[in-house]
Amino acid sequence: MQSIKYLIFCLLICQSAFALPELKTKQALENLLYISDDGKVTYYQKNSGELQYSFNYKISTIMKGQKNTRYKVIAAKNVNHIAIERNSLYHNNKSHIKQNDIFIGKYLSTDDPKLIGKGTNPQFHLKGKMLSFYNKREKEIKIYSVTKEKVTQTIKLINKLQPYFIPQVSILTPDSILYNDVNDKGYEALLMYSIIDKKFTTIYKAQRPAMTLSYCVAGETGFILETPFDSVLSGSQILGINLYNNPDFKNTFQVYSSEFGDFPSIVCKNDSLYFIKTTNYISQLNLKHSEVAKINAKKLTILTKEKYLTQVYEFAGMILTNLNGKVLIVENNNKLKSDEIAKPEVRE
Amino acid sequence: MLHQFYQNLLNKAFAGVLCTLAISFNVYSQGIFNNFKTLSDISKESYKTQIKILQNQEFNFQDVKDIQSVSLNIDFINNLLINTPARYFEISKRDKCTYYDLILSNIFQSPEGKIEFIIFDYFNKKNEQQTALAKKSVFIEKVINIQCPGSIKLSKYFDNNNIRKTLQNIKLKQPKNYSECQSIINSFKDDVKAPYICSLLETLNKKSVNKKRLQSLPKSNFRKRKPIEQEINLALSLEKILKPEALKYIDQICLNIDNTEKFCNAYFSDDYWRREFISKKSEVLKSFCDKSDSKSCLKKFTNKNFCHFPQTKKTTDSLKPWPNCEHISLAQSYSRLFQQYNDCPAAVGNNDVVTWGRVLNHFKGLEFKSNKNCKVNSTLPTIKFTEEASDYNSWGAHVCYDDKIKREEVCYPTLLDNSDELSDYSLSTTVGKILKRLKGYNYINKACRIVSAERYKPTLLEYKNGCIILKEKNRCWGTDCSFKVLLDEQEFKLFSFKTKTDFEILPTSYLNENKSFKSILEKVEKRTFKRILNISAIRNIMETHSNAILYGVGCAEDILPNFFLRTEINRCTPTPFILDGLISVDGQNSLVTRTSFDHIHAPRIIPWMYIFSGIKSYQKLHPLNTWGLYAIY
Repeated sequence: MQSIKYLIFCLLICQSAFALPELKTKQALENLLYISDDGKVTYYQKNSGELQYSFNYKISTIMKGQKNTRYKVIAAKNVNHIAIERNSLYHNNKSHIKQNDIFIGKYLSTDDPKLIGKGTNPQFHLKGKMLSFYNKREKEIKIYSVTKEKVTQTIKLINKLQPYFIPQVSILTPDSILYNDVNDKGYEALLMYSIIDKKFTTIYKAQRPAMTLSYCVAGETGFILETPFDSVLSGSQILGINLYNNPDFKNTFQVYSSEFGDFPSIVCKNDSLYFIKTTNYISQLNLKHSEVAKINAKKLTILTKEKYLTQVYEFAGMILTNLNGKVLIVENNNKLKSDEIAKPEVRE
Repeated sequence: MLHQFYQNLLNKAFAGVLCTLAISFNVYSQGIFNNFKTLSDISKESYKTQIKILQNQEFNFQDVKDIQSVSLNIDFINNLLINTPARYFEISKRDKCTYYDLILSNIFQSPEGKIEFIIFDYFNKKNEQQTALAKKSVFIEKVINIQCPGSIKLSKYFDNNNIRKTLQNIKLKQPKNYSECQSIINSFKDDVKAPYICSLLETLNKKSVNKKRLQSLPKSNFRKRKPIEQEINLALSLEKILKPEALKYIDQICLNIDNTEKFCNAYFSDDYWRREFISKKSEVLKSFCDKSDSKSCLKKFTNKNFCHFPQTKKTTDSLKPWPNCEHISLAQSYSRLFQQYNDCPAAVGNNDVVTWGRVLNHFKGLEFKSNKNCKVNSTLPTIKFTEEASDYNSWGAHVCYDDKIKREEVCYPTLLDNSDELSDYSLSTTVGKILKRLKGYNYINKACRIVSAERYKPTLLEYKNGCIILKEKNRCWGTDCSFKVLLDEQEFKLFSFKTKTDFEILPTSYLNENKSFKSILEKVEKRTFKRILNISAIRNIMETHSNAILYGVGCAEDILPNFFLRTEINRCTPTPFILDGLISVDGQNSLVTRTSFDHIHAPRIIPWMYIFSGIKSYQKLHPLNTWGLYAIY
């Protein structure tokens, strides 16, 4: 009996040794919106509706909204601005046609941020010179020039089939905008829009309807993850494509393929690709065994032992995933500097 | 619970059977089949011997001290059990009278076929235990008639003369889903009519054998021919009375009475689409085919991928692609949500309204004729509920005007589409009320017409007079809309359209707790709400309350990770959902789920751990840290 107890204890220890560490922060994690890679700057929110940041132990309020407002803050390396999405009545008005407020403000500044439009999913591009966001009601991608301080371009999606679809947008050069759209037969495609030529080019079209495309860009290469939607019986693949010197985007190369449908979550970071790989599928339960995988120098590595992961994303230089409501760290190469206050010198 | 006496009796019976089996295994070791055959032969021999011995004994019912203490002889029961299909042991367990029901219905068979004699134990007047034999008809009259008069009465309902009328009054409940199927077979086992219903099946099965037996008997053997003829006649009239579906149903339930899983699997092996097609009143098929009653519609479901993007004229704005046909069929086999209407979540424009419309329709049924306008099937029950069941007026869309006399703004809760039935809440009525107040327009005689902007032709005569409500193209949903009002071609601007957002599917503050849907439904409809924390509680609720459904709120990024990407920390799209079926395989569980993005006829199978993660993630962001999963029944 005693030996069984020891065995169970040993198994528990072994299992915990494989488990991913949970992300712990000084702030309540659910209020965190942004942490700089060095950990010195934090943007966070309060349930009372305030948006604040802390830097050098000093707390500053940026804006005050209604109670229970939720914010999204986007900032990036070498970007002197922040983009804010303000979602008022977050708990009371759950609607896909709800228009959130999009603001632009100065990084580490309490100056009133400027309201630039209505929509969702703001993103900076071209080192902070451009900002994109998506208007769900009008089904339009809006491109805002930070230098010109106005919306300079609007792209209307053709999608009529998927009412909850939100496109991924990347601005590669001041002339070329990369985004995805869905046609009336359910085919998703990755498109390039040239502002000067006013011309749309298809970079990649999904092989069949009911497949979804997600992508990330590393240097000059785009990596397209083609996966089936929920319950669609198909495999997955990752394709590499040169986005700059590739006439008509004909040259693609396969980086990875699988007989199982993976989740459409992909991150490019430091010459590596992170995504969720499915290793088994139980059709009757629609249940996937899925783990975080990494491809680096053509080598695929499984990074986790947890079996039911569905998303991978980047935050404060870390690769994170979620499970059972917890935020887990998949990979963290950051060396955070200690922000401990120096102890006062004591003279004897 | 079985009476202790009968438990002992049954235990002895099984012990006897097992001992005999064991002996036969020792004596003969030439395989199970041989052994069983031998056992059957031994049983027949011992039965014959016992009958012979008891026939030579004198017996009179007047010697019996108390008729109530008469019981079937244990060796006799052993013999019956060996010769009766094992599945009927399941119904023999109930009580004393069930043994008699099994005898009266001819389910129990003796080693010689139909029971002619009954062997029983009794106490004589000297209080000594004795064993005796009586003809079946005599035993029925002298013992069963006293001990279980109800069984005699019941058996008469199933004789040749009454069978037609009896069967007309028996309702065979077709299971709509797996859990209902389980409760149907469990209640059938406890039904006193079960042996008699199953005996009909035995009668039908024996029809051809009986015909052969009858042919081999000389016509002069009247005594032997009569019961066989009666049985054949009963079989013939049953074939006329019972429809093929009823026959199939009785066949399945009686053949699998001892195996719930087998019964339900057999029942649901016929795929969902075929069952819906046969029912001929399926609203579900209409969401997949325009001609839902044609065989070509049914054929489409053989292609699993057909269901991802079905092309119909009906509006089915919802999360697409829908699951494959096999998954929808499986989910629907476990589903219990009322769904005899169409809805279109994306066109409604408010996720809480979609889910609450479904909850209300499930418990109250459609209180109105199913609307052609799919949005109204969600918005009308919700506006009626919010405006009539409580004082909180939490409906979101209002048309308002400034009342100069009262010096206040007056607002009318408004349904943004016209329903098929007249409603005080419809847009044309509320705008009409304002026009009457401010312009003296008689909206009762000439109601405002709702016209979409692309159809509006100002040059046409029909648009020259009266009140026209012009809805902007692609800017109108069930809960929000951009529109203009024209009165005799002039734009009327003395009104405002306001969207209020006081929906509290889960209360966000202790002060607002009374305003939440949960509280109102609990109070007004007297429904029970139970917080659900784990899968055992879900299983328990589903098994004990056939109408129970679960509703909750969770993050779409966890529940529907294929559709909603988590690209940054704390990203969560709060999503109301309904769970109405549990699928378990090897200890792992998934739930039949309709999020407020999904079409009512296209439920998804979602693993419990995704749903758990979604609720947990949302709980962390909720101001009251509320765990958002409840059962309602």
